Amino acid sequence: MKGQIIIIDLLFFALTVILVIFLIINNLFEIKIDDKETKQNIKELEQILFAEKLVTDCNFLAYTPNNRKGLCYKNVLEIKLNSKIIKQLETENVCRIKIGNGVVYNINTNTKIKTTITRGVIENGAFKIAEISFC
Amino acid sequence: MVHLKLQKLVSAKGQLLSLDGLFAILFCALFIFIFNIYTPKELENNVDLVKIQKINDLLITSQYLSIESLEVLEQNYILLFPNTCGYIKINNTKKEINCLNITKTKLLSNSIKYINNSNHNVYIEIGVY
Repeated sequence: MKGQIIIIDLLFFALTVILVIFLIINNLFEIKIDDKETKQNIKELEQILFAEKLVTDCNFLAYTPNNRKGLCYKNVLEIKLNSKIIKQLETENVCRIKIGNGVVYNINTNTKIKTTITRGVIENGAFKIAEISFC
Repeated sequence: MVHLKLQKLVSAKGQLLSLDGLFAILFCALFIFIFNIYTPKELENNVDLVKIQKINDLLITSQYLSIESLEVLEQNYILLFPNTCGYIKINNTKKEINCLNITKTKLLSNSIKYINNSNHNVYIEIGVY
């Protein structure tokens, strides 16, 4: 009887240890997947916010009337690609900006376009679609 | 492995439950609890954010261009949302777009009211499902 109890006890203990190890590994694996998804989501969010900045910020493509520094017309674009903007576009991995049918910025690389964000803008007094593509 | 001898609960029918097993279960439960606390929550859906940004694009450009025609606004809507079901409303006139045989769920909408060049109130509302 004592021997049987010890065997059952050992078996139960071994099963529980296996279960604990399985749960730990499973949880660690899930955390890793979640972490990867969160990073991807943050990257997407950064791209969305950068696209927003491009079409609304005076220092980027938003139209600023002469002698009215600081005043921007949201979604009304003025194509003014200076070195500062280009540097920022390179930092954010923007490889193409298309407004309507015209390409206003393009990097001739073989890198594949991963994401394209489309926004509604006004250029030259007409409604157009701005496509901001990230590599 | 630490084996605790004679720490067993024996019922009348001979069912056994060892204390070290019980401790292991508690240990297991503690781990599940800790890991669940530190699991990062998923971020808000970015797709909805893009949708609401596009709705705002349509509203702000409509005001700037003084669009008061449902047809013109519809053209712009289709350019931004080629396959997405939604509606546009100018004053009291409403039109649904791309909604044929589509189940409508989770509406995202926004509106704008402005005074046009003829001193009339213009109300524009755009919704996307």
